[in-house]
Amino acid sequence: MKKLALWMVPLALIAAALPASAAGLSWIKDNYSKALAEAKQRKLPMFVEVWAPW
Amino acid sequence: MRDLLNHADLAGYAGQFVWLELSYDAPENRTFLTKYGAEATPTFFVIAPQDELVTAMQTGAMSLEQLRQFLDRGASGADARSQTPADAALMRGDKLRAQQPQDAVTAYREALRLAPANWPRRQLAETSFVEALQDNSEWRLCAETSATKAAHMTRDDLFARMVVGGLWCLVSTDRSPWSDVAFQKLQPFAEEALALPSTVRDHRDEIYRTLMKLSVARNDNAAAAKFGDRWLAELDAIKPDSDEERSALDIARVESIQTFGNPERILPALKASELAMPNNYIASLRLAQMELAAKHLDETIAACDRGLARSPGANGRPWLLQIKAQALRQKGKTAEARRTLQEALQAAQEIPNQGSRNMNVHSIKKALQQ
Repeated sequence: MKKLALWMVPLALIAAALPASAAGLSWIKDNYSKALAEAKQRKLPMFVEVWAPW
Repeated sequence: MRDLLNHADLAGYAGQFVWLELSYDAPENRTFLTKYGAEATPTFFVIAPQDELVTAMQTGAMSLEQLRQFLDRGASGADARSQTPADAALMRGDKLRAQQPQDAVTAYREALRLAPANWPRRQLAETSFVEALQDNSEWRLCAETSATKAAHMTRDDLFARMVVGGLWCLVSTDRSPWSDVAFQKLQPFAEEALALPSTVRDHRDEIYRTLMKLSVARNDNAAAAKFGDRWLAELDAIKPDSDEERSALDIARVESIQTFGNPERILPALKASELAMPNNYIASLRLAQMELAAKHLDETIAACDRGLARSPGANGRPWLLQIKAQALRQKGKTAEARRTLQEALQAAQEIPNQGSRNMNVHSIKKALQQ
């Protein structure tokens, strides 16, 4: 796994913005409170992806 | 990995979760990142909304099959009634992993102790156990367990993860008789993992780079160069179908050269990417890093300036300024280097993540004292 401790080295083989989802997944961006409220209302678990643009 | 999350085969999961993506860079995510101990990217969580507890956690890339298993595990973890005691211990390990790796080791060990003979999650628990040993800096047990367990595993993506975990533990420790033995055992498994079509690009990257590091540590630069050449040739053979993939390939190139190799080898690809992605500051930053490594000081400064003109954001700006300052200093322009470092110090105060902010401030202040 890639630790962020060496943050000045590019760490993950990911970048740029998330394209439209072919899988039909409706993503909430950078808003934990909103996702939590929705998960409570719909009684669903949350899937959370932490990513970095570099 | 991000492409995988848009895979059409995941459509069946669309209504089973609320999907949240959190950028490590965004200040509004700082509370979450601290609370859940996300210290690497990518990191994935499944969180039960009623108590906000983690029911599954994974650091690092996954194949499509692993991602499906992760989602299944997360969903069943949210429903405690469907769990065996071994499943519950596995889930406990996942919960503890980010912030209490020692307790996670205990939980995974317990899961394996409780596991019935035909437990379908045995390989997952063994792999998670090795990864938790890595998190807990138990290098010898991690590497030796990895070598022992890998021998008996089905050759799939979990096998690759097991090998990756063991190799990183060897990299993390000084060379010794036991580490040489473990390396001899793990190296053939690494080659097997590289030969598997299921081994995802992130894991191939980690296998090649750890093999390079371990070769260098054993004074075998020829072997390190060979692994580097193989990996760069693999990357060059891939035709990127998006900017996202182009960036991913370039990151892998830079990481490979930073491990071992000649930066001149990848400059043409990085220059092509900078032209192909005119709004992407990271493309300029990567090029600047490698121009600096190749001692092309004027080209380094020019690439930094282009990156700074591309809205680099809170993390990118101090990073570019520090690279530029290094090039200026190497050119003998001490006063200008100092001014640039002071600018970097000011910019670093805006980095959202406290750990990154502190680390940057510390390194910039240290550079200013030189």
